[in-house]
Amino acid sequence: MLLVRDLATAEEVVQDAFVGLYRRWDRLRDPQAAIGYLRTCVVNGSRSALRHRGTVERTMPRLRPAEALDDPSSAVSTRRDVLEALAALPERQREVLVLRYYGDLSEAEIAEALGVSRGAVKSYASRGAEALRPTLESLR
Amino acid sequence: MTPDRDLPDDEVTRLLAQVMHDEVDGLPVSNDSLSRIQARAAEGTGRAAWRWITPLAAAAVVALVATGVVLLPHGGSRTSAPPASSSLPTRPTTAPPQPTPSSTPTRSTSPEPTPTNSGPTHSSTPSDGALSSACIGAGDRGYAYYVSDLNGLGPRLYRAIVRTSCHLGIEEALTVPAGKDADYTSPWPAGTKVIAMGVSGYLATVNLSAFPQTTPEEELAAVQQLVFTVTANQPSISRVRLLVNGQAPRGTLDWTAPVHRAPLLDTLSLVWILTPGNGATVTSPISVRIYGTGYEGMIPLQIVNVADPNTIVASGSVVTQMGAFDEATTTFDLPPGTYELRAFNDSGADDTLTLWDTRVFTVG
Repeated sequence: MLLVRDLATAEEVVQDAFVGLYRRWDRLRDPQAAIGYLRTCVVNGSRSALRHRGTVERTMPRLRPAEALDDPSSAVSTRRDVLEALAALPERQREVLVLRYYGDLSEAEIAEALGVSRGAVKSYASRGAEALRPTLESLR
Repeated sequence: MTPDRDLPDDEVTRLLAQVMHDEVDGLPVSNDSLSRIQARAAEGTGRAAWRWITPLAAAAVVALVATGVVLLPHGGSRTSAPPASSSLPTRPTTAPPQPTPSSTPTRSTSPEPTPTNSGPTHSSTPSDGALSSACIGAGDRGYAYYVSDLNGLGPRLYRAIVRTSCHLGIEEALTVPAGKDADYTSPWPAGTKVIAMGVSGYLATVNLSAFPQTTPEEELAAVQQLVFTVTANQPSISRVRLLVNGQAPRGTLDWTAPVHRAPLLDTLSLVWILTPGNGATVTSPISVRIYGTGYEGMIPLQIVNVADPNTIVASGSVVTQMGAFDEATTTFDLPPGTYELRAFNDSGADDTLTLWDTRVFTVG
């Protein structure tokens, strides 16, 4: 959901991951590796879904989300702003932030899920957090 | 959060974690997710062996689909996930389980900050989640939402500024205070009281003394009336669980799960008149402030003399947003008298205007 911003798509992506895992179960080297496999499948599936959606949305007019103007309390809008800013981050930064700060994964687990080095995870996390900092500061 | 000294970990990133959890925890998940996965996996394989997935799926599939990302922290499953919530109820098919106050979720992250900006002001901020009859969240200036079906298109919510006596404006929403727009109503039974209320993180639990016995449409509006009121007065709250005398409400619809705000365009009145206030005495030129949405953002306005309501004495329009709500202002020059201001919009499908709000005011 945090990666694709749409519950139906999120469900599809997760289902695809489980179906893929089932079909590859016999080739899985270690049952304990299943979770890592699922994480990687969901991240990759989310990327594919976003790319497909991007192609569709480029041909459609954009409307400002109504929620942004809903309530006179700016705190509601600010929370929405954080999620909008998260969605606008480069793909890798967004994935690292979601896996770390929502999924509570370690640097090593994130590196394995994304197929990148631990140094890259650190870099993506720092840059992503810095990019969101101004918006998050307004929530404090 | 599990410490990892190499990754940013401060108050700001903890806020980010909280915003993410508020956004997705407890999202309603399709009940048939597991069976759909099983059906798809069995296609073409002739295998029906799901022994391997059973222990994993029982805890994991629902959690994964609920969050939408494969995130089983350290191979485990969530043990304290909040209950699923929805803006729309389902019709009860069996006797609903009786929720108890102890089922309200707790958060591992720090409580969301109380707004310090232009939001409503309150005497205290409830935070421990325990249901209490104590007065919490009173304020000099808050909001209450009311129900009206002015144009016959179904009940819609209208917001008014009120002095919130207790419980984040719920009392004011249950009974329309004197002096508010005559079109504003509350579907809640007369005399409905707040027995107790508790707040835990983003979830408010409210125990009421009665529940509307009405049409599903009006019941939906009544519940959303309280959800919008509570979340407007305390923006850190995003979901509201309703209880009636300690049990799940017994209405036409199933309200066992916490409820979040329904989509705005389906719930709110599409046009509100913010000023002049109902019954206000003003001087010309009068300032008219509108909040709304319409086709190409257009909000047509008409003013009639209440003594001759069939004759339009002034008309104009303001432009807000299309597909989103926005504010707009205009002015009218009027001689002394008592008038009714009418605010419309149109769907863009034809020339028919839909009346959404009215105000009676006097020009001195």
